[in-house]
Amino acid sequence: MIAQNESIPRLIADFSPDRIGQLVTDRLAGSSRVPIFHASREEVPEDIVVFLLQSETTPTGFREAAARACTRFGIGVMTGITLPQEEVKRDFTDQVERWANVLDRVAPTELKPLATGLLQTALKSENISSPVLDAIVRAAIRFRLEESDAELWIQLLQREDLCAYGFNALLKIDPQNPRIVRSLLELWESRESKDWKVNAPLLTAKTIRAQGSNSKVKRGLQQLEEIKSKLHRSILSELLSSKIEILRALAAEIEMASALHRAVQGSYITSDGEEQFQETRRHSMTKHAGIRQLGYAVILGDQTGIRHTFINPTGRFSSEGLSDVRINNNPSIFQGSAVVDFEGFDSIERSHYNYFAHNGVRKNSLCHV
Amino acid sequence: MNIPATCNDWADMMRSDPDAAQVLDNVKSDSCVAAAHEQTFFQRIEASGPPADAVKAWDAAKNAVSAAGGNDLYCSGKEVPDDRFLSLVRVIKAEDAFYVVDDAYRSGAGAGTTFHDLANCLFDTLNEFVAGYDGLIGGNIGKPDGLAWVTEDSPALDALRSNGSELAGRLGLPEQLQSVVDRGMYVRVAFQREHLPEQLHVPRVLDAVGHSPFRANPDCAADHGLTYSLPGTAGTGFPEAIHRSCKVARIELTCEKA
Repeated sequence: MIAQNESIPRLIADFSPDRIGQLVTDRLAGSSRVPIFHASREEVPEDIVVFLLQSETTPTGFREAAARACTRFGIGVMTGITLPQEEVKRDFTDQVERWANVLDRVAPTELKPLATGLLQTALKSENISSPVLDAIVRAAIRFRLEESDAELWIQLLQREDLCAYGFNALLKIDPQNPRIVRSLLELWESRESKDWKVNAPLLTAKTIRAQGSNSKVKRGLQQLEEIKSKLHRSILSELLSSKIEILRALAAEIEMASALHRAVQGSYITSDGEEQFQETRRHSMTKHAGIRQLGYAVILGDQTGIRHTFINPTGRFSSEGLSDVRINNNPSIFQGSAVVDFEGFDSIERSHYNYFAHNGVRKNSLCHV
Repeated sequence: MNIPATCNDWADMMRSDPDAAQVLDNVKSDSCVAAAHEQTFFQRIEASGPPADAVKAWDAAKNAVSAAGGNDLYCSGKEVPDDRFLSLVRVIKAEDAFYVVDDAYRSGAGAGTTFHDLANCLFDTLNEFVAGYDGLIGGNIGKPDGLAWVTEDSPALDALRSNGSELAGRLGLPEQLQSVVDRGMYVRVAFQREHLPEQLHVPRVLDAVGHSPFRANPDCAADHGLTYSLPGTAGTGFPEAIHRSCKVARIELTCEKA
C-alpha cells in the first residue's frame, strides 16, 4: 500500500507532464521497471501509476497526464480484445492485467465510462482469452456497485469463469440481501453437481464476515437439509475439514443443532448420555409435552461429536434448571457445548446468555434450531 | 566490472540520481561476474542508445539483464551448495498475496478476490484468504521481476515472526516495512528447496540492478549473499539467495500479525 501523503518520488519530480504520460505508458507496457520509490527489489510496475492517480501530493498536471495515458492504454485494450487471438501481441495479457490492476486499486472516476464499456464489449467478445476477460471484469467491479448494477452480477453467477466476481460484487452491494445466501447455495450446488472450481468455502467465510454473523448462512444451510440432504451433507463435510476456523465452527453448530433435533425426537441417543437423556426425555414427555416450543437444551460436545445431550424442560432457565445440566458441579463441563433455544436465539434472555458465557460456554457456540 | 567508453552517456545519466548512482557503484565494484556476461550486459546497454534521464538509464540496465524471453544474465552467480537454504522464506506486503497465489485461486472462477479487497481487508479476512490456499497448485514466486529473493529460514528469523517491522528491516525491505507499520500484518511465504524447480544462486550485481541497497560480496567463493538491515533496525541481516521466478508446489502462506 502506498501512503497517500508520501511525497512525489525524487526520481521523477522534475519530469514534464508529457514525460509522466510516457512513464505511465512504459509501465503498463512492461518496458519500464526500475524501482521509483525506495530502490527496493520488487516494486510492482504499476505502483507508480497508482501513486500518480491517487496520492494527495501528486501535482495536478501529473495526475491528468497519468489519467490520459491510462485512458489511451485502455482504448488500446478495447481494440485488442476485438482482434483474433493470433493477431494479438504475445504480452497483451500481461499488459491488460497491469492496466486492470491500476483500475482495481484506484478506480479513477474519469476511467469509469471506458471500464464499463470494456466490460460490456468483453462479455460479448468471442475472441477474448480467459485471463484478459478475467482482468477486465476485475477492473470494472468497483465502478458497478450500485443496486441497479445487481442484475449484471446476477447474470455472471451463471458463468463458471466469472461467478465468484459476480457473487463478491453482490456481497459488496448489499450483504444482507436475501439473494446472497440463495446465490451462495447455488454456487455450492454448481461446485457439487457441475464440478465448478468456484471457491465456495472462502465465499462462505466472506459472507459471514460481511453479514457480521453466521445466522443467515446457517439458516440457509439448515433449510437445505430438508430439500437437498445430499448437498447439505457434502457442504457440511467440506466445511468441517476446512482450514478456516469460522467455517468449522459453522458446521459444528449446524451438526449440534441437527443432533438436538434428532435427540428431541428420540432418534438420537449418545452412548455416554443415554441414561441421562432417557430420564430427561421421559420427564419432559410426561410433564412438558410442549418442550419443542418452550425448552432449553444443552448439548455437550465439540467439533468431533456430541458427548451428552441434556434438556431443561422447564421453559425457563434458572439456577435450578442449570443444576439439571451441570455435571458434578463442574462448570468447565460447559466448554464446547451449545445452548439451543427452541423458540429462537433472540428469545434467550440476556441473563441466561450471560450465565452460559460466564461459565465457559463459548459465545459462538450458542445455536438456534 | 569496467564500464566501457561506449557506455559513458549511460554512466553519466546513472550518476545524476543517488539511487541510480548506487547501482552504478555496485556494478563497478563486482569483480565476480563472468567476462562473457559482462560483455553482453554492456553491449545491450549501448544498443539501447543514450538515455534521456536517470529512469531511462536505469531501465536500460534492468532491461539488459531481464530482456524479454531471455533473462539470460540473471542467476549467473555460483549455485548455492545443496546443504544450505533447505527451507526458504520470503516476507511480502499483506496485499501482495494477490500476486503470489495461483491465478486460478483468486480469479472469477475461484475466489473472485481483487487487489482492492486484500488492500482494504482486516486481518481475519486476509488470514482466511491465505489459509484457504492449499499451496498444492503453486504460486508464481518472484513475479513480476523475473527473480525471487529468498532468505534461509533459521531460529533467529523465526524469532522475529511476531515483530514484523524488525523482520522487514533486517531483511532490508523498506516497502514491506512501511506496510507492516501501516497495517500491522504481513504475509510470510515459505517453501522447501526440494520443491523448487529452479536452482538457487548467490546473487551478483546483475541480479541486483533493480536494488540499489545491494552490495556485491567481494568473496567470489561465498555460498550466499547477505541482506542489509535498514537504518533503525537492530542486528545484522540474514543469508540471502535468488532463484528465477517460477511456480512452486506446496507453498506455506501465513498471515502474521506484526
